[in-house]
Amino acid sequence: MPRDVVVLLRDVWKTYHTKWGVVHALKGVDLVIHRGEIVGIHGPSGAGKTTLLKIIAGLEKPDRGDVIVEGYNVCMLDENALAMLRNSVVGFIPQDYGLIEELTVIENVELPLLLAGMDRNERRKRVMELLEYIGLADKAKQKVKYLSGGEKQRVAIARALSNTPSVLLADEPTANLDWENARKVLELFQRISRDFDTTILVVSHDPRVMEYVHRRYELRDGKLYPVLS
Amino acid sequence: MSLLPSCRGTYYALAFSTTLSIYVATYPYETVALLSLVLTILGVLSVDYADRTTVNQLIEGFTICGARPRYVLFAVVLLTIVKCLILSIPPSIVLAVSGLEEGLINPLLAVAVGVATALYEVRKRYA
Repeated sequence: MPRDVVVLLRDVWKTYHTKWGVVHALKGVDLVIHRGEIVGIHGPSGAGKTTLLKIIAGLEKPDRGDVIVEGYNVCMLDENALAMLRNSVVGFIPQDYGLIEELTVIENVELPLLLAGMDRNERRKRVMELLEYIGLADKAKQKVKYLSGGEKQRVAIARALSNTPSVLLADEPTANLDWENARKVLELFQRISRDFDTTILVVSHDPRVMEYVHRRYELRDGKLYPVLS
Repeated sequence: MSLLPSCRGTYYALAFSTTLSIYVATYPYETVALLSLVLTILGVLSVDYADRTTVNQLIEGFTICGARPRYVLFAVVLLTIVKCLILSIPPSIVLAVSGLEEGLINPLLAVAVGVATALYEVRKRYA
């Protein structure tokens, strides 16, 4: 595997057996993403975008195929190794932010650092740096439940960035935001990619999001098609 | 789908109030222990479903952040124990003061039921 390939998917298949029948979410998906790239995957709801992200993050296992992230074969890892991957290699931003609303902004952002065993002073210093970076330092001690959608999205980004992962996976990052806030979040992704050389994979049903990525794909009927810009 | 937990919570709450009525009506006929157990289970389940959001946020947040499964389990069980104790101790004191000593075992039952549902939730995630 060449050094600058960060994410590699080879012939990935995923089928769900529901009470309404069999759903083929992914049908032989191939994808290569290089370091520092922002890649966008566009497709209608139910096309399998979230499934694809969850498989890369090790939150779901594919039925067959290879998923390699920073040299780790995700399909071969046990739950503890997958936890380590999510803690330090992959930052995942779910559509509903995945924050613990009863905790403050600081507590949410420092959770991955706490799990990584970082000491308190170092943790707080790192969290404050991140909150400065995303422009939410003044809300550090507020409970997440009192924040707006745009602010929650930025907290989720800060949390995903806390252990400086190589890959950031964003699931519909603009779905719950008005366009002004959505634009700010997408510009933040561009800044993160530039400043930290982070690889970012964004999935969205909104075609406007695709204007902020380097390369884009269309996910249709479980298959991925490159879109030439 | 998002309505499902609250609907189920409502069913448990309805069952809770029905059982409570039977409990009160049949108390003189010495059916206390069984009904007290049923009441406790239904009470914990109804509140647990109403408050399922926190448990799910905890499981999702910890999993995304890279917590090992045993840490997720520890956090969820700890939250459940605290929640069940907060819920069951005040009514248990009231029951005990009213002369129904059986009320004193309610916190233990509540914790047992709560932990069982918490284990089920975490198991579902890692199945």
